[in-house]
Amino acid sequence: MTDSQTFPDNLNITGIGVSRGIVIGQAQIIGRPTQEIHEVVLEPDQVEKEIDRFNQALKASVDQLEELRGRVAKILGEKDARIFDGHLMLVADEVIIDEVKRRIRSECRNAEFVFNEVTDRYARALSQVSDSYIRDRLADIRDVADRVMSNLRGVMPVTLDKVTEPSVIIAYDISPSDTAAMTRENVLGFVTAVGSRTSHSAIMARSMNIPAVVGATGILNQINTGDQIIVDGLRGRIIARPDGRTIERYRRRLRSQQEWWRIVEAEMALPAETVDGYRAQLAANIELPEEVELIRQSYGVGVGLFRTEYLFIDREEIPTEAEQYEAYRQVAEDIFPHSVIIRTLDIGGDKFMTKLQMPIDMNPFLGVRAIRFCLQRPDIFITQLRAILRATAHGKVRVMFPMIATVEELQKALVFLEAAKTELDEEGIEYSKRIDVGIMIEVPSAAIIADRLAKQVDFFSIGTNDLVQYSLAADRGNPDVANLYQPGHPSIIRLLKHVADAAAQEGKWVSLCGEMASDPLFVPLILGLGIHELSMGIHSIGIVKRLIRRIRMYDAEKLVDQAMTCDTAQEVINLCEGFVARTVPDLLPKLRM
Amino acid sequence: MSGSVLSKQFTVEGENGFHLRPITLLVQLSGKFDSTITISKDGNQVGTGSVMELLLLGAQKGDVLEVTVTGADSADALNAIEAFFKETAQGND
Repeated sequence: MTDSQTFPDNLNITGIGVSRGIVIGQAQIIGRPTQEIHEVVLEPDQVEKEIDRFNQALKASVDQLEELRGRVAKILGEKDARIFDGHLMLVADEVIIDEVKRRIRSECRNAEFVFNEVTDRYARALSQVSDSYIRDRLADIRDVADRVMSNLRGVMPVTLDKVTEPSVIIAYDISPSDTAAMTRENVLGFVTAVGSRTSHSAIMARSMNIPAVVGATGILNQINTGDQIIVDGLRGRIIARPDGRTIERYRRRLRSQQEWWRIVEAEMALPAETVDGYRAQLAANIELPEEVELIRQSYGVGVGLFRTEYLFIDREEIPTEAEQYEAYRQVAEDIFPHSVIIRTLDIGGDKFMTKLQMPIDMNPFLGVRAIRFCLQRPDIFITQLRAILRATAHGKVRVMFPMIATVEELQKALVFLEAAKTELDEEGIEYSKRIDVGIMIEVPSAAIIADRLAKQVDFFSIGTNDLVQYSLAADRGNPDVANLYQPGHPSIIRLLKHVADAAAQEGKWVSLCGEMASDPLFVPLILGLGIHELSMGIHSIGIVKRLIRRIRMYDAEKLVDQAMTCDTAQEVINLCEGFVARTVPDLLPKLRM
Repeated sequence: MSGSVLSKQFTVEGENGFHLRPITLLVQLSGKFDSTITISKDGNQVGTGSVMELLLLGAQKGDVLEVTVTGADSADALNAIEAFFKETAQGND
């Protein structure tokens, strides 16, 4: 673009790292370009021409909105298209239009400048309205104002399918349609101004192993297309226009990490076995069926957690049984002879679906989510259970219920499972009668009554992310309390021990599928606790395996004894760090580079 | 009946206040009549030609709006507006 702005070099920007890896490349902004508005003084005889130009921009905006409205109505339905009625009204707003024209005439200024001043004033006034719902309409007004402005300037948005050079994509947000156009050929990494770990683009980034940072507020005002940029997807760090020394430092880090990955991958085919002969089961957490291919090529392990939310998010219709069955069957067949644990819908909390009318909770993490939601919506739940059951005919499939807090919830869920089986029996549809049923242990109440729950299930999978957050009553997404999100807290170690002991007592198996499983710091402790199956993101398996192959189980158990006497999370972490540093001296320094 | 000035008060019932959707509908509705329609809240009076100005009234659920209609078809217009407020009170818009 011709009017690119000058920004400071070597600028640090932070966001939320959602897909790890480092990339150094050229920035490509997609979506609406940032626009600097110039003030131009007009000669009196240019004024009418300027008003004409403004009229044309309004007309073009109306045409585009009508076309968009028609397209959306066709794809998503009339109700979703209605938003554009409001946008069309705003473009035609006579008060704004009259004021802009009057001021172009009286002040002899260009349309961009006047239009921007007028809409800005209204936007500021609107931001003072006390009603938050009305205040939120600001987004619509900005959207419409941006469109008119783009038409005035004749600059149209860039979409991902038009990007051909490998680039680091910068966007306000990456829409589902842009996500679909993402390939490893055109996208080296991406940074967005908004988003979360669970947005569709973040899921895709992890699955494609593309470094990504979301929630980098203000990124669009700090970078131009063509600028050099470094993205560190592990730490959520971005450096715009890095200087030579910074680039060199990151190149060294990149080389060192690649070297390290080669060492790790050299042990890929070896079993995850401790020095004294205990074998751990490693498994992968996946979000998309396509990820199975990568697992097969590299580690040859099972799937310890298949999150099914991707089927439900960012779409308008609830997926049909056939569509779900197709996805589950594909994973079951592709991962065979290994097994897959399919987790039933875990929606709510920080994960939402567009179409499902989720109740508005004051505190979504303590509200209607996961199994609570499914038990309220038998139609959705039974459909999913039928699809999972049907997939059992094509491989080793286990089913798991998330967020169980009470025995009654488990029993209700089991009744639905039986109902789904009865339906299939009556319809003569094939499935495996002997399906393992497990639950996530992620609510403290379930961890504490694990000895009771263990009698009614085949396995446990401990979801430490939620278990930690619920136990310490701290939302890890809230920076003010994130320091209380302590996976190493003695309470967590004790809960894990209780769950592992309860499962062992009943002869049931237990795995751990939270982020603790992929944190080398905690791996020895987890093994020492008697949890021998760890499920994690595919890209962590190599490191965890390398660590396990150097651990002595006897030492890991002693580590647990020591941890049980700790008062604080810091004491536990110090112990674990000492253990890992002694066992694999080069591991922690490499990971923290 | 011609040229009479009519006015009536309505309470905003929609859960989300008098937001973009009902405002859009009201602006569309007002365009069908020749009468001049104004809406006021707490002494601020605005016309029904501007979505922006109506939004800026910031009317929330429970707020009272005074609608004034001036013109030949004022009675029909007021009836239509009354029906509109009844409908938005029931709908979940």
